[in-house]
Amino acid sequence: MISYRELGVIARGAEAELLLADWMGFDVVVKRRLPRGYLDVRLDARIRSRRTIKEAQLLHEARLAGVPTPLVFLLDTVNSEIVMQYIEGRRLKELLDVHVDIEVLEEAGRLVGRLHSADIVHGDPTTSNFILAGDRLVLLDFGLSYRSRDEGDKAVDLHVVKEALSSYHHDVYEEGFARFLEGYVATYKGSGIVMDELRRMESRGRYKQVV
Amino acid sequence: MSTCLGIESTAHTFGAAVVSEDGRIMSDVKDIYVPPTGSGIHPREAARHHVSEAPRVLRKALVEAGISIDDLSCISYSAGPGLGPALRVGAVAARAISSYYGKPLVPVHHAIGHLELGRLLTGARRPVALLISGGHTTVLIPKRRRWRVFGETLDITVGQLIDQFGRHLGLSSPSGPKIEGLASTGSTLLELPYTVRGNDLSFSGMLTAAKRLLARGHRQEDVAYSIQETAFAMLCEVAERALAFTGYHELMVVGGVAANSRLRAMLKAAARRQDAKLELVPPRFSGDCGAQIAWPGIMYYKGGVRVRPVDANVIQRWRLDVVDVPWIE
Ligand SMILES: Nc1ncnc2c1ncn2[C@@H]1O[C@H](COP(=O)(O)OP(=O)(O)O)[C@@H](O)[C@H]1O
Ligand SMILES: [Mg+2]
Repeated sequence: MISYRELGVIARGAEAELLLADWMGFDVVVKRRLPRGYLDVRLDARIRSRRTIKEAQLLHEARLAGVPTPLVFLLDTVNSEIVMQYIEGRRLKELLDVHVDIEVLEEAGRLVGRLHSADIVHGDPTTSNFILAGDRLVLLDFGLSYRSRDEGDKAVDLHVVKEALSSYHHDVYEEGFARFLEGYVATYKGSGIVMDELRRMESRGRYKQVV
Repeated sequence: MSTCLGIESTAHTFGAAVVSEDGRIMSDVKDIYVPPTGSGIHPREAARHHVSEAPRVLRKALVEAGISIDDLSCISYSAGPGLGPALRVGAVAARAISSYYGKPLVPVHHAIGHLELGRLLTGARRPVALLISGGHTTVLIPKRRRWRVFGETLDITVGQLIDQFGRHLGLSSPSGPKIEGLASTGSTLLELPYTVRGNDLSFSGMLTAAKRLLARGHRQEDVAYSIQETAFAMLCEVAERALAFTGYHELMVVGGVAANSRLRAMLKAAARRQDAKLELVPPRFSGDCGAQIAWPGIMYYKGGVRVRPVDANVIQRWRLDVVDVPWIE
């Protein structure tokens, strides 16, 4: 049993509830994957526990690869909870909403580039998963992350970024995605092959044709 | 009051409907091609079906609407994406009526039709939309004159997953209702790949794995149950992700797969979990129909969109996020 004192909910994510808490005098965030009551209970349990474990692992591995992530303090696989460092700042999503500084997307590209250099695929590098804390950009939410050398897998990460920018942030899409790629290319040697793969992915099947 | 005759012939369905500019569906008639048991849709056979049913369906649509062709303001047709031979039947009919009676002709993107009819019928204003039909598994948001793709399948659609699994079992397509029946008597959850990447999905690995489970002797009922539970859980997850990200409060679901009652129940709970309301199109209009073409048809017509009959082509491959929808804010 993890002992922390809950101070309040800071966010309701897609799958998890995020609580601010006090743990031994530190401000921490508790990410608690709540049951999706509408699923087969076996499936629900499997998804939550796997993702919680994966996330704790990869938050750590990403940090070793030079990508700023919250420090993981505790992991509770029974309740699907992770206790991690609280990152104070603003999310990329809101920063782009108010058109602040598109340059920050270049840094986002650098983080994903560093991640891919270490053969880690983030799985959900959307703008709600980056927090700008002071002048440091931090990457969160590794629940869908996994290790892979495959360029196709890495290309999907770029596609996810592109989709988020072209749909929700369409005002900054073109320049923003170009900036992102600049950062990506500058930090990742294999970026050329991944970008080829992205183009191939987008020109074939699903992206070209919709029956 | 302007009115539009819309003609749909993308795949299995030949449909015709008359809709007025205030959104009243004055008629909606259709006839659905059913391929032989165990086989998928054959484009030329579908086209043959459409050719033979078109006169009756069109006449009935006009009679039920109580309108003569002369009194229509325009004709719209489903210009794609879809099966070439099937699409051409609708386009030819629309072209003929348009030139013979001198009526303006308006092309409509089939999927935009699903989405816009969905908004008309549900009253949803700014929803996250889940389009789940034979040809699409796509999460979208309406923003600045476009339906913008927020996420979609990276390979086959959930409709294709179900149909191809059904065909593997020797069921006639579309096999959704039969798979739903089978699944309702299954109870063992077998492990299948659950693949969500951001807001994107992948189902092809699940199809392969499901066939393998059958080959290993698992009961059809249990495999069908596991496919539904796993695939629908993935759909609900991307819907939840889009709702959480955008903060929107409506989840609109359109397309034929929404007829599945297990999926509807799951989506309802998923929407509630994100403080959103589930908006479902009445079953009668969730599958392909003329009204989905007639309604955008009249909206485009009022915005001045026309094609000359000689230019009224069909586009088999046509992404929906390149289509201008001027009335979306
Ligand atoms: N360590 C953290 N420090 C500060 N805020 C956080 C932290 N982790 C998550 N959040 C906030 O909670 C939101 C959801 O968390 P996230 O891990 O992305 O969960 P989900 O998988 O549900 O999207 C984030 O967008 C962010 O605003
Ligand atoms: Mg997140």
